[in-house]
Amino acid sequence: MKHIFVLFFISSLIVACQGSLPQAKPLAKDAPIWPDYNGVTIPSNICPLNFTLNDSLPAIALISNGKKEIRVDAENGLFSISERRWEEILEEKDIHSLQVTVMQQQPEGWVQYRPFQIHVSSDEIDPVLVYRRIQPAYRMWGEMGIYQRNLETFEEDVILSNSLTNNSCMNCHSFCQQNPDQMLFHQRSTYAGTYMLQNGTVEKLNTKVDSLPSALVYPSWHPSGRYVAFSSNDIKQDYHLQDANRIEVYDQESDVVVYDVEQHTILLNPMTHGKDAFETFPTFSSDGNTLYFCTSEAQEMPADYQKVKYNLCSQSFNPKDGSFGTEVDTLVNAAQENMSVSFPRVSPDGRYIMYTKASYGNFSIWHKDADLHLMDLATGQELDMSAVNSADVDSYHSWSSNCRWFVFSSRRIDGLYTRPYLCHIDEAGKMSKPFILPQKDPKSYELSLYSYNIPELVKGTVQSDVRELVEVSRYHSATPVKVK
Amino acid sequence: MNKFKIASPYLGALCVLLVGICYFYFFACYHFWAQESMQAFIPSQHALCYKPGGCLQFISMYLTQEFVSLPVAVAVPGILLMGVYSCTFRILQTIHSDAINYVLATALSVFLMQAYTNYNIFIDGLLGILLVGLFVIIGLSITKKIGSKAIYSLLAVLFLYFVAQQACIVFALIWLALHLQKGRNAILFSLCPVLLSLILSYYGLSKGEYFSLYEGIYSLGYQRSQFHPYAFIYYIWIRYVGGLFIAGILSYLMGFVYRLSWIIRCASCLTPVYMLIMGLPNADAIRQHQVQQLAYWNRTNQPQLIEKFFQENPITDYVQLNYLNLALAKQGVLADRLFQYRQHGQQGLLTEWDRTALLSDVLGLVHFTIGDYTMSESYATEQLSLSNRGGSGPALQRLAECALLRADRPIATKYLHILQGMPHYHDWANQQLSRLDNGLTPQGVYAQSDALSSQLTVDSLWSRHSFDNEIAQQYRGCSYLLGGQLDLFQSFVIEYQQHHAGELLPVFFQQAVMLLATNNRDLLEQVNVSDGVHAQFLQFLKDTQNAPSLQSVQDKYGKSFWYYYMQRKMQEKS
Repeated sequence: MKHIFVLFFISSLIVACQGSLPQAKPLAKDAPIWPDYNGVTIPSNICPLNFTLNDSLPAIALISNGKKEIRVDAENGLFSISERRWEEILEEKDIHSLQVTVMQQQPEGWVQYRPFQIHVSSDEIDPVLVYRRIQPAYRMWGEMGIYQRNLETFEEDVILSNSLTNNSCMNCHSFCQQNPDQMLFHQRSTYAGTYMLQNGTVEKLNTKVDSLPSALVYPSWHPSGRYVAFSSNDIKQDYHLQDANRIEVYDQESDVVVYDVEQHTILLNPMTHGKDAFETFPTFSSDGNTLYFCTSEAQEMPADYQKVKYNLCSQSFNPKDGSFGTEVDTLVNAAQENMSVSFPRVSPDGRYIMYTKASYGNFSIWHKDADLHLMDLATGQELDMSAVNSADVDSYHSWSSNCRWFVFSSRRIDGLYTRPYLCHIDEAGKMSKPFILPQKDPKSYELSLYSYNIPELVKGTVQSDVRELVEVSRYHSATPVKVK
Repeated sequence: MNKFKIASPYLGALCVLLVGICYFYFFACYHFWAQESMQAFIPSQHALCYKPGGCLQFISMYLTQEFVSLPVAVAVPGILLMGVYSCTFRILQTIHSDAINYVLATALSVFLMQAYTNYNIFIDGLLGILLVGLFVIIGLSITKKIGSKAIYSLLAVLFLYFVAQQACIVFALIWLALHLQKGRNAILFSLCPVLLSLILSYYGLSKGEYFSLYEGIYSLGYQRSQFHPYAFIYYIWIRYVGGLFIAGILSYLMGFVYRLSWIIRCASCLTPVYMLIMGLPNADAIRQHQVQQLAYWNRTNQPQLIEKFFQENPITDYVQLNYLNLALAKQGVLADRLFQYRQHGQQGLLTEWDRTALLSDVLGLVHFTIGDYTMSESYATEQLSLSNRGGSGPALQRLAECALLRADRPIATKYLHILQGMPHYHDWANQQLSRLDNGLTPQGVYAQSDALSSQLTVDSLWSRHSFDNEIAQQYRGCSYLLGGQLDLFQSFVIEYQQHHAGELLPVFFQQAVMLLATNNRDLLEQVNVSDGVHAQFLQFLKDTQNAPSLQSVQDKYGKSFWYYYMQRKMQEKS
């Protein structure tokens, strides 16, 4: 009883301290908040959208779903929303939007900015986002790691960090159908290999074979989980003396192959094997019967790096026997428009294919003109993505398992550091205004010297054990793969 | 049993403090600056403190950045060392009170003193051991009841885990060792903190928050490959614990060799001598100290001190030569004084990058001074990645400068906001932020045409600069001279003279012109050479006519381009 009384007293005190709302003069302008959540669409299972004002004057935000309202007092310009109360207002039935009213105490008195709406979609997003955090670099890398972030909270866990693996380079994490129990990634430099994490087991593979330009690189799982399409690329990195793009990553040679997970065998693709053309970024269709990839005529590299223009092509694939079709169809003839396609990704329902288009090359994350494009596979029509793209790089993307959300990388804030953005796409294929991955303190984006690389949405937490991954990295020899 | 008592244990501590201060003053006074340049620390970001071990890092980084000054750089490690010495001595005294503890504690302190400078263990490394030592001696003195001691040790493990991460294992191991001779119950109770520290450590390891203390057992090469600030710290902690165990055993055994007490007395008296001999830095430590000194003078823009340093000290490697030539260039006398110092080819201007933060810094500086801002930016980015404590203040500063020159407002703002939060860069960042309000225009090579870096040679990079950029042109001309590329120098110097019409060329350019003029007299009509250089060259020709010894030529012309060229040609022939 005594405790209840004390709790009641403390709660009353807190409520009393918050005080009543001030009389604020309405302003006909939007609140200068960051990140920009004005008019965005969010899933109902997202963590609080904490935001900041551009100065640390006293301020109040009222967030209302029409039935309930929560008040958030800014601390040094930061509106840190209680996770419990945020959950409560999103949990209410038939909520379609939140109205946010921001008031600020300016020298001349309290003002109230124009309220803004945050649309709430009942389509849930896959709860976990996996990304690599790495500093943008010219020649070397420093600290990096693959992390998983719970989108429903702010919790972030490391899957593997190179501070545990003698500064190795780790990249290209990929999941089978957004399944956290079926994942792969590569390590280069120390403990080199491709690491397959399947249902609690870790397998280390040596995928370097003589008949391919390099070990296997860009992966995409077959929906069955039996195969993974890879490209094998002889990658070079260079940098510009005077160009907004700064870095140029290009292939000297590349091929597309399929790896048979059960047989530890690489299936060479006769239609893509050779030096006449560069082929890269393979991906399977959702039914697993088609293999999409990007291809360009081979060029003299690096002299003609700007002449490399990739088209988006498709080829049939028979998952029963792992055979490839004998015809390659061009789905997007980007070269004809003097453009180049990269990172094709088919939506899990097979309805759309999303890809990046830039004026040349394949490593569009360094190309300022890179934009996302979406094609309806049934009609071959491109959908309008103007709400999504920005003036800076908009590139690597992945789908949520229900096809209603996708995440993509963008450098729209400062032109150098990649940040993940989440975007809703409705039944009709209409895209909403994307929003940046919410952080407990959004200022952390400004203070962070790391990029969020290869954002991948997954259906749950990756249950791998860091210690086991480190042990496999260090002490297990890599299983060699054969070529069929 | 030897009942010899130390007259004053404080004397030993004072001695360690004085020797430590002298050592750090003479061989590590720029160490703080070097450490500061390997971290990006924003005090307002307290999140670090809430992670296991974050507190220790926070304190270390805070001290390093907030108090970068000579007295602090000397006093802080000196005091920490004295603290470690006192704790070590007290721990050994509890094993067996003996004069040899004086020697043993000193030896371990000397080891840590050298480790501080040689292995970059930062303040964390010393502070962690000091905390462990303090908790051990407090624990030993508070009570004699086993139960209370067990509770204390468990609390100490918990505290140390949150403050200094795996230092808790170091504590638990020392605690266990100290109770080995105190009966079965004491041993069993001492196993509790070991168990707790291992559980806590395992928890952190399985979460991937840090790597194992156990890895500190491996070689130095392995620690270097770890590329983690704690790699060397664990390396030293494990060796310190090993050293303490051996010292403890030695101290314990001394109880049985009473007759040798006079030897121990002598050894104790010789401790200061021993400390001075063993404590002297090795060649690597001296070189590291010199490079840190050069880097400091460079950061504080004192090129004349760098030049003066090389007037008194020999040049030992390309990094030093790069600093020297950069200092000459900053004073505008590169082509006038280059060969007054012993040169070793074109790498003396721009050495090969070895994938370290140090060389990234040096090369970034050279390129920035010349005006190759993209190259400078690329090396600053490497420096940022290779500085393994979250970044590098100087690298961020250079990136901000490059972004301002590139007129890239968003990224310049980002870097400046980060620097604004760092005490050491706060004022500079504020000044630069005010520049942003006045508008930016691209400058230097940012206004020129593009090329991929792999397609460029250093020569083509520097020839892109206009002749108004005197530093770039002097670097270019000196690069030809150092590489013995006189054909390229000839076409360069004619153009150079055209842009400096009526002016006398820098001395070594004149000397090279005289050499070229032996085959091409017309050159003297296109390029101005002073009468003095002319006369000296005639004398040089006369002196070298009858194949004199290289030594005699060096004595007279050792500081001329002619001698450098002659020597180079002889090396090529041999």
